Amino acid sequence: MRIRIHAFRVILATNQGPYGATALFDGGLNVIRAENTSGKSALINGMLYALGLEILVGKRGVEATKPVLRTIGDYDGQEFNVLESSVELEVANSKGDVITIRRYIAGERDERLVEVVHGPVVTGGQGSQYKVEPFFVGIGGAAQRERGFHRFLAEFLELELPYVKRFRGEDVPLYVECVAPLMFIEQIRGWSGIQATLTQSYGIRSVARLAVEHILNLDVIENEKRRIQITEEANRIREDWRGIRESMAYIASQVGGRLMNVPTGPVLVLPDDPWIAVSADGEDVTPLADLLVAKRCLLLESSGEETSEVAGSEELEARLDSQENELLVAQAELSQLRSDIRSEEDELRKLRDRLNFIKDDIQRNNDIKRLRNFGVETGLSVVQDRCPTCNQSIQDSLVPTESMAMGVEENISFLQTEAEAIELLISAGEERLTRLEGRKAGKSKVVANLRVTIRDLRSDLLENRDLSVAAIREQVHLQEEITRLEQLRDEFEEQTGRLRHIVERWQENRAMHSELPDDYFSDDDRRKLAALSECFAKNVELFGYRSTGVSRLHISEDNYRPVCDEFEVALGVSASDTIRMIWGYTLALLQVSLSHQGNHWGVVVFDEPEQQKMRETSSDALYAEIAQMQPQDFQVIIATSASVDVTSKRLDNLPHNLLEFGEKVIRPMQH
Amino acid sequence: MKAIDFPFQAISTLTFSPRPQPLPASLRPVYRIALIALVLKTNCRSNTASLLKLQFFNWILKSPGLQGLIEGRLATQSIFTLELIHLDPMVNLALKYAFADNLISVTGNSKYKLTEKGHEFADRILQDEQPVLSKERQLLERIGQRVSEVRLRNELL
Repeated sequence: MRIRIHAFRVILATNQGPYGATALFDGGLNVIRAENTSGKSALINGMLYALGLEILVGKRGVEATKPVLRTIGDYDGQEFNVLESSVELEVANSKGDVITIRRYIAGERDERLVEVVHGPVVTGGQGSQYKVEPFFVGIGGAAQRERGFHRFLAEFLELELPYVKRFRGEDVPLYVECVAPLMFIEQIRGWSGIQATLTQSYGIRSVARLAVEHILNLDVIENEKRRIQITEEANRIREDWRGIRESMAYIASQVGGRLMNVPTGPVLVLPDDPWIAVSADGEDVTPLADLLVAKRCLLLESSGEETSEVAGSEELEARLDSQENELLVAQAELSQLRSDIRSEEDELRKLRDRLNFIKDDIQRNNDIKRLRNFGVETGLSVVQDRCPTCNQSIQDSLVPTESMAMGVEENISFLQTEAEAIELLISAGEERLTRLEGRKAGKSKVVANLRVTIRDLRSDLLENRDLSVAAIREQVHLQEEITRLEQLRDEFEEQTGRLRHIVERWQENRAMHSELPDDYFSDDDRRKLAALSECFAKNVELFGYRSTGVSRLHISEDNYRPVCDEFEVALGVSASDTIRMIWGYTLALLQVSLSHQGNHWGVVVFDEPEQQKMRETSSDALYAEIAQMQPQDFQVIIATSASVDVTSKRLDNLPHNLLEFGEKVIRPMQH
Repeated sequence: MKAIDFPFQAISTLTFSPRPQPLPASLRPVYRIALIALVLKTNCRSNTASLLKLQFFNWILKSPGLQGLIEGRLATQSIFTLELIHLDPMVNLALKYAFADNLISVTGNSKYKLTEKGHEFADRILQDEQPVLSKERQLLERIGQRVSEVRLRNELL
């Protein structure tokens, strides 16, 4: 067991002097007996309030405590007004360290402040020698920040709360508020079902299941977390791969070529080396490396020419002619590329507009879902597809449609599919566009070079020099081109290296993925769940459960709730059997956690378990079942208003600790 | 495009069944009703508006491309004419629903007024912790009460 509640005390300063109540608890079965409306629930709620768990009552802060603790109460016909009040809960952890948790209710002190006194204040008498530490509850960060009370509590009790995924934002420790509804059954709402006081998700995915998994210390939490981590790493790898592939494709477009042998997604083995295919003049495809070799040869040849005789004017004429032809062709190609680019851009713009519209429409559809809720709350007929005037069913559309209109949910998933398709089209279009831009850049360069060459040839012809300017310029261009290509080649090789590294990461990731257990539950998990099923069935049978055959009851592997022939039993059983189920389930969790090293705190609180005119024999069985457990392992606190006679008869021969409060729990305190 | 070889011989009967059609969100009654309630709540004196005004706001809300221009014009003399504004029969239809559902009432001079229930509905939207209809709400709040009935009549009619 992780927590042992030693004592609880309520202290009120009133206009009639000090009032209060003290309850001392032992291990095993504790019974608080008092008459109806005597203030038992003030005690139980006060304990939850001290632990910062008042949300189980459905309210936050002092609102959750009973009025007698903060406004007006009466004792022996005398009314008193509460001026200041606080609660003190003295608890020990498994190592035997004792703290007293003090939280204020009425008065000047902030309700979000919790004081932790490192000593037994209630049982050991007031002592100023103990260290007092302030913490906060009830505001964001109580579970994580250093001064958060729940973080302190989790550390003190060694709760080992798992870090869990939220719908958005970072991981958080499973909040104690999520676990507590399985151990603290509060009177007003706690008896309406299993985990009935877990009314919100706190943004945590499948929070109800996680709470049970945590209490039973199932391996699935760890496995599920690993599964998510591996998936996230896989997504990061895909992202990195895409980035590198894009920059490789960009390099390829810079040299006017296309990227080859790089798959769109990560692979375990790169089948062949990535390379850049350059289509020289749109004809044969050569690798970038070959192109470099060819350029270097050209450079060698032309530097040979330089020293030789300057070409004759006839030869110059012929070259000029061919260069001018080449220029014409190149210009035509360039203008074709320009118009291709324009239409590609047009297409992309249209697609992006459509995508924006779809995204807006998805947003609006989501809004409509909320609006419908508001509409239902306001009592509108239209949102329930009913005509407000004649109450006949109407279409959920302002225009008459020939066939049925899609439901909002269906419409959203339809739009999402469309959006995904368009995003694919856009990314393909963008890729095409970069390729075209690359080719355009290359072609412009060719055109510019040709123009310069033609000019040089013309002036060579006119001036009849010894040295051909055209030849020299051509050499310079070639030299520049070679340097540029070499640089790009080096960059490309660097990226290829990074790609190989990703391949390694991907291999690792896939290996880890394959090591995940195929079966969701581990063998240990199955043993625990089987024990829970068995224990639960045994308990409810003891408690006199009648609604369905007990042999058909077991615990569902989907949500860990009791099912009968695969149907959740919460519905359709008699009211008193629902109560028996909650007894049986809550105790079974404690018992299985004790026998199978679970994370149960070792404490269960039942506030008025005898609901729904429970048969006496059932209650007898509940008390007997609790009393037969090893008292050093756990603590069960029952608050009851059963009569003195019934209670004492029931507890006869059972080891127990009875706290008898009679007519009033809150009484004047003696000095 | 390549023709697909379809095994027609193997098929004896063909069944056609209607599939539900997708529908733009702006054609859902509750979306328009919510916008009408919001306009009456945020942009109208004593939460009452003429049909003309509701049509005008519908036009702004529906034209994301024009919103910047229209908003700019609101500060100065506007250039809007009735011909320019798209009068949308869906607004009238939505008004019918809203009236039947007791969200709005019709006043003596044929204007539409937000009822108690309408206020409740609008408040739920405005107080939503998730920003439902956030773009629409922002636009309406920016415009505020600048478009008065008198001004609309003077400039449009």
